[in-house]
Amino acid sequence: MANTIPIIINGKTVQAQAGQNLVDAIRDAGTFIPSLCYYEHIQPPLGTCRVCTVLVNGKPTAACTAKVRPGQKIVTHTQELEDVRKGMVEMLFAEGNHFCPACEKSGDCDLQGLGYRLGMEASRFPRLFVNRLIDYRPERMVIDHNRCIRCRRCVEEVVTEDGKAVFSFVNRGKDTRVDIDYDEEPKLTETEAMRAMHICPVGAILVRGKSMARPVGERKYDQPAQGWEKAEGPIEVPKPRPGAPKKVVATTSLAGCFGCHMSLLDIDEEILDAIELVEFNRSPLTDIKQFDRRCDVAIIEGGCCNSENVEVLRAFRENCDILIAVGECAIWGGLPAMRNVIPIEECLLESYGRTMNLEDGQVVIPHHEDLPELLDQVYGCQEIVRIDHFIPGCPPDARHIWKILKHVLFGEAYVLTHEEFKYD
Amino acid sequence: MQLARQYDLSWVEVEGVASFYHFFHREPAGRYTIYLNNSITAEHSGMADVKAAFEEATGARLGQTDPTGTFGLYETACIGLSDLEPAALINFQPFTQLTPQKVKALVWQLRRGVPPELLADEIPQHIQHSLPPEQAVLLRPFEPGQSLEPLLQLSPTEALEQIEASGLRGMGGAFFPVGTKWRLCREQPGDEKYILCNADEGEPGTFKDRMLLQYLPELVIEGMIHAAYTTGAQEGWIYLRGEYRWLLPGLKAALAHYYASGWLGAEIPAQEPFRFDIHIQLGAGAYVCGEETAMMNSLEGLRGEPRVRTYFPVERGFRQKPTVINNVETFAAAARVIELGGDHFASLGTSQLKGTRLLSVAGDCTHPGIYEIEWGTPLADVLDWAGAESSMAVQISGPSGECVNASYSHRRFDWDDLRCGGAVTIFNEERDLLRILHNFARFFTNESCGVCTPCRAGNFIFSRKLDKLSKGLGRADDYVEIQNWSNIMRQTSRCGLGRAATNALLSAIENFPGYFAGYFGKQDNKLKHPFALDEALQDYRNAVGRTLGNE
Amino acid sequence: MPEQKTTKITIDPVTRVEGHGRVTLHLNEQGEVSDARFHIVEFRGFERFIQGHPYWEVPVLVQRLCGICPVSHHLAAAKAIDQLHGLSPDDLSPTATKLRRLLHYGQIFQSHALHFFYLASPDLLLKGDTPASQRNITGVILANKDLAKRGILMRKFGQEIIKAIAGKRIHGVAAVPGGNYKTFTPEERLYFLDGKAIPNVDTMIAWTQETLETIHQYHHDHRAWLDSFAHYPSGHLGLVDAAGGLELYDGRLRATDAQGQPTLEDIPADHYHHYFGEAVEPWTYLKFPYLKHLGRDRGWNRVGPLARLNVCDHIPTPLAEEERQRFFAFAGNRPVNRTLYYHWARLIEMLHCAETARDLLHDPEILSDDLVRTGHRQGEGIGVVEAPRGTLIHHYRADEKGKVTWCNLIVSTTHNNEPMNRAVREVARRELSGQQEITEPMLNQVEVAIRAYDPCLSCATHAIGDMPLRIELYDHQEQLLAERTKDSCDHPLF
Repeated sequence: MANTIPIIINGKTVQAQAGQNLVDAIRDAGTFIPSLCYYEHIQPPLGTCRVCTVLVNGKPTAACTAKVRPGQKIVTHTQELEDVRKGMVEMLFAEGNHFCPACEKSGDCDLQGLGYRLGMEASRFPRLFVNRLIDYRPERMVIDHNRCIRCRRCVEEVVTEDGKAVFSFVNRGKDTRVDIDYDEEPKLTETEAMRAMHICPVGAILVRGKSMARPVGERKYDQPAQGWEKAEGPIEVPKPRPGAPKKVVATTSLAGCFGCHMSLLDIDEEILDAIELVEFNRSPLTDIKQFDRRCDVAIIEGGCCNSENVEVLRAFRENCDILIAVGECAIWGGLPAMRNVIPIEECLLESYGRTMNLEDGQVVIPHHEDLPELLDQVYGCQEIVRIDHFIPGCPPDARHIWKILKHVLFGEAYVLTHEEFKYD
Repeated sequence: MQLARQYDLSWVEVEGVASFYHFFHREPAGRYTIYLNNSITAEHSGMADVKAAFEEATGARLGQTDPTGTFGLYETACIGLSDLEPAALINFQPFTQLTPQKVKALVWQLRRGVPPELLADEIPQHIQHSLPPEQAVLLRPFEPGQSLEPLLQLSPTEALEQIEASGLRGMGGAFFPVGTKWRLCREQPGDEKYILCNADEGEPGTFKDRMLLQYLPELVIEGMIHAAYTTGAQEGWIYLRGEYRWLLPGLKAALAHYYASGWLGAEIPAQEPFRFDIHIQLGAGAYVCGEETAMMNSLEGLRGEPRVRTYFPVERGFRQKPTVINNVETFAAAARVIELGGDHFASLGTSQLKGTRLLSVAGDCTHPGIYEIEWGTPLADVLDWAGAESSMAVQISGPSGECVNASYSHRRFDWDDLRCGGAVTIFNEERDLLRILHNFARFFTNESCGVCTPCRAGNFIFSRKLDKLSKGLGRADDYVEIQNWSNIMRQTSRCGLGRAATNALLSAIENFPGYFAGYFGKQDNKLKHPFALDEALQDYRNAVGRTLGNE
Repeated sequence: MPEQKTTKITIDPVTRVEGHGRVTLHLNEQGEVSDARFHIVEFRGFERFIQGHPYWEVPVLVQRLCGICPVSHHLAAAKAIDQLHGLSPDDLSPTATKLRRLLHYGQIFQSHALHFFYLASPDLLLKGDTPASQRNITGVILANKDLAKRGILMRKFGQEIIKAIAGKRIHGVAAVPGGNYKTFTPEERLYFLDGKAIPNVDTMIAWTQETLETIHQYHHDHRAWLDSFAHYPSGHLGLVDAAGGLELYDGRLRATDAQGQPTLEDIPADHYHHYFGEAVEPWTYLKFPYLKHLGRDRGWNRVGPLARLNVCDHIPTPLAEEERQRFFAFAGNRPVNRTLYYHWARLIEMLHCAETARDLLHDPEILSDDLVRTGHRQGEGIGVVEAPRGTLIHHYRADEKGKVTWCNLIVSTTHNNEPMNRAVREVARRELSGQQEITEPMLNQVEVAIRAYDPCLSCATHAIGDMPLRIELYDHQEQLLAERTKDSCDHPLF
């Protein structure tokens, strides 16, 4: 038996290999610890993402940067530590431009998987929306800097046959970026390029023609995973209690595509029972423009892209007790927020100024007293009003939506399955 | 490309190093490269007008060269001349107390071909307060060699014991016991050891090391010699920040003098003669290189990124060999300890912090400059000596330190109170606290090395948050959020920069509750968040206006 | 000249295109409708921000244009991307083509079901004097629960087809460049045929036929109104196959004028840009496409079920073809320019989709795993399909490195922009001009006209309760004289 020594993890003494990396030691002891940049054989460990932060002898440490040493006392789970680790994932989501719905790696992405595993419904940090490059110049690869989390795996791992580095960090601070060497990259074989794509935990490195992830349902994070419940049967609506007044629900779609409303309707036949418990007030389903009574719950789809969205959202906040932001767009802007890194003028000119076969060659940007004005960015609803619940997805699974609704309206407990908690 | 081939590296690796440092330009930066510093003291002294004057006189816009390529105008962080703001570097020569008129005249001279070295300002020693002879340690008379004489009677161990007895702690901000550090290095096996002098004084508002390097370089050199003697190291470097390049001739001259006198090189006279060489390495504009492991990486020719702390530098440091790294002032103080005796040093100061230290005081005061104080001195005294009036806040130890309320007259410079790393920046009542803090946040955002998530992203996120607060868009939640976000950064950052980045903000919130209540508490309706709607609509309105022909 | 006093009536919100739409009606002193406009108030900028992305991401990205018919965008983009690989629809494997067709016809089935049962049926199936508060899906459920349930299950059937092929009901992924992503398994096929978990495809056909009986009877009973309501001449545009039959996935562009004379003679769909122009008005974010050789005033076309029936010569599936013939026999002439005939036409298409789905489900080739073809990169790709709401055009350019450099999208409802404006004007003139008082039912008629077009995101439009309304009365000096806001009571406004 190799060199094991006793250390304490969360109050329990375990035997661990002396000198073993702490992430591995913690996992070998059967305790969950998330990691992202950690890649076993890279020495010294990268220690860039900080997602594996634990307390070692009372000191906050990235577990991957520490080794098993005699007398160690390790704490992996306190409420604070969990929040701090989740904070790292949330920071990464806020820093880059992570559009899960349109990403090839979605479903196989470790950052996304961590978000699911740690239960990140919405990032507490406002997204930065910095314009980042998509580099098409390399021969085999396309590098999408919107997604890079600067874990550094590619910098340390990917070398040509004669030992030359292909990737390197350039610049500093918030401008830090992974650049690729255009002379060395073509020397990589296809296998080596594919390997680079696979060791990248996110969808930043794409090999042309090889980057589409597996079909929905067959991807890594579609599979039942440790810590999640299995999928359940159809959605059930509670039976109405005699004499109980119907709950009043308002809904709206701001800058959304309506997919979330359609997902709401994917409750199918159950809606026949649902309408005995719930009545819709102001809603695309009812067309009541002014609130004529206070509503229990509001379902908000879509973010705010123009002045009318802001007005409507504020009106909903005033008239409804609980606001639920449904879908990526409502939470942080979603796909329409792809325009956030581009000046609004450019978007307008592209649609109206350079449109094909324009009459008279004159540029007209729509602007009228009966039209709302456009905001400089698409904003998530929580930047405008307090939001009480977030349901991620694009669109969220119907079961997820109804579980939360039932919980909010009727106090029903709920457990989400891995299939129901998605960002795409 | 040539460099890449010469060192058998890929081009992108070379670019990686070059792009890390602010002073390495990959495009021509003008025959005269002008750096204006963006520290808060510069801002308060009228740097905006100076910048406008430069732009007009040179024809260059900030961040670019003028069309002829004669002048390049750039922004940089504090250049260590806080007592003489507004200050700039032109071809790394110092220019101080600039005014628009001065600028105009200056540029005219440069155009006529007068070299910047001839036009540069003299930098005074600027000693504003020194201690009486019984108490003064650093600011007292000194002749080169003065502290090396005792070595003729002391063995390396005995010399080390003097350092230990003094209780001297590092002056760079970490306050690690110097004797302990040198002993640990001594005890490491092997012959190859190094002494590194951290002269990367990058904390905005700090310029005490500048003074020492300019006016008392011999003290510093001798301190390094003592370190070499006691540890067995034979080679050392002074890592000099690029902004102090104008100090290089003086430093080189001092070193030359020591070589000529036999106090450097082979066979340095002592009870056990020894060999020691000192080189100088210039930095290239990166605050984070003041972090010791980052500095070592930089010295090794890499990007100046802090290392994962698997080993202390005394175990495996520069070139993975035992290394002593200390601040300029620490070496100077160490030399004095050998000269005056460890017990004498230990008799000064307080029970927790021995001896004295230098402060660099600047900002809203009549006597900016260098102050030597004994530990235990009240803040109020320093403010008094400095001629500070109507003070509102004092930033201790620069942006990574504490924002103290000037009316807290009980605060003292000591271990468990103002454990100051050197910088004391004074702000009067007319200054806006949020603007100051915003300046600090931007500083960290630019200076982060970028390797770890919490510092790289966290600082940027904080900058944006302060942006919002400055526009009056604060809400009640912000207080809790700032605490929460700061805690995250502090627990997860890879090095001290990230951990300390929110210190100023947090301490300001604690020390100025009334001020921040105005920003956090303004929200009447906690459910409706403040939002600058008109500002958000402005881009669209401008776009429409442009197509309609009316801007 | 004496100044005119105008009244502006705003109906807000009305129908949507990825958001809200509103109608403004201007009445002159004589109370005649001098102008009527349908404003689309949403703008998202897809055409700009798609640029810079790798072209293979586009089909997954663009379906977020719409949550009701994402498949249409997905497939139109997929066809364009195929062309970027030098592949035309004929070059794809039979399995990929059939799976895509099954997906497409399945999604049209669900979309039409959604529109007819959830949205349009209250107008058509409830009695005329039904109060506004019940004129909605709840009212239909109360009046006829079985019918409502059928409608829900028909939508479900279509959604399940989408899920089987694309992995998700909404915003799934089916197409990759040159083909499809995943195979269709025998278990999945059985799910749609055996009627155990869900009613099977034959039931779908039967139910659609029964619904058609209902609508036929409805036309019989309300002939006068249906024939005269929003009846105005227009062009018609749609895809047809090589034999001139109705074709929804891949065909040629055919357009006729209001009399049925060809204005676009079966041109290849990827030549659209030679024929179409787009105009911009300052009062709406939606553009106005038109046939260039006819000019802005005459070159606009209706698209969608009515237009498609008008331009095709026959429907390739027998039961739907029978219905088509019955349709035109009843109408009396072809093309039909009567707006409310859209609902009937939509049901005929539903039948066609169900029949096509059945044929495909029984085709053994859909189970094969021969899914992808490769080709050579080209610089430009155009994909045109018939979405539930009309002709949908996606057009992209991508450089040799794979970056999208340019994009043009003409979304179906865009073609219907001018027709809907005309409809609004027509109905407003007919119902409101010269009236002493403007009532809620009158304003509802305007919505009925818009709803017939099933503009994208039609989920947005139905009312439980009254049509919200705000009326502002201005004098000739634009001083506000009176303002009435009506929420949910039946009282007249003035």
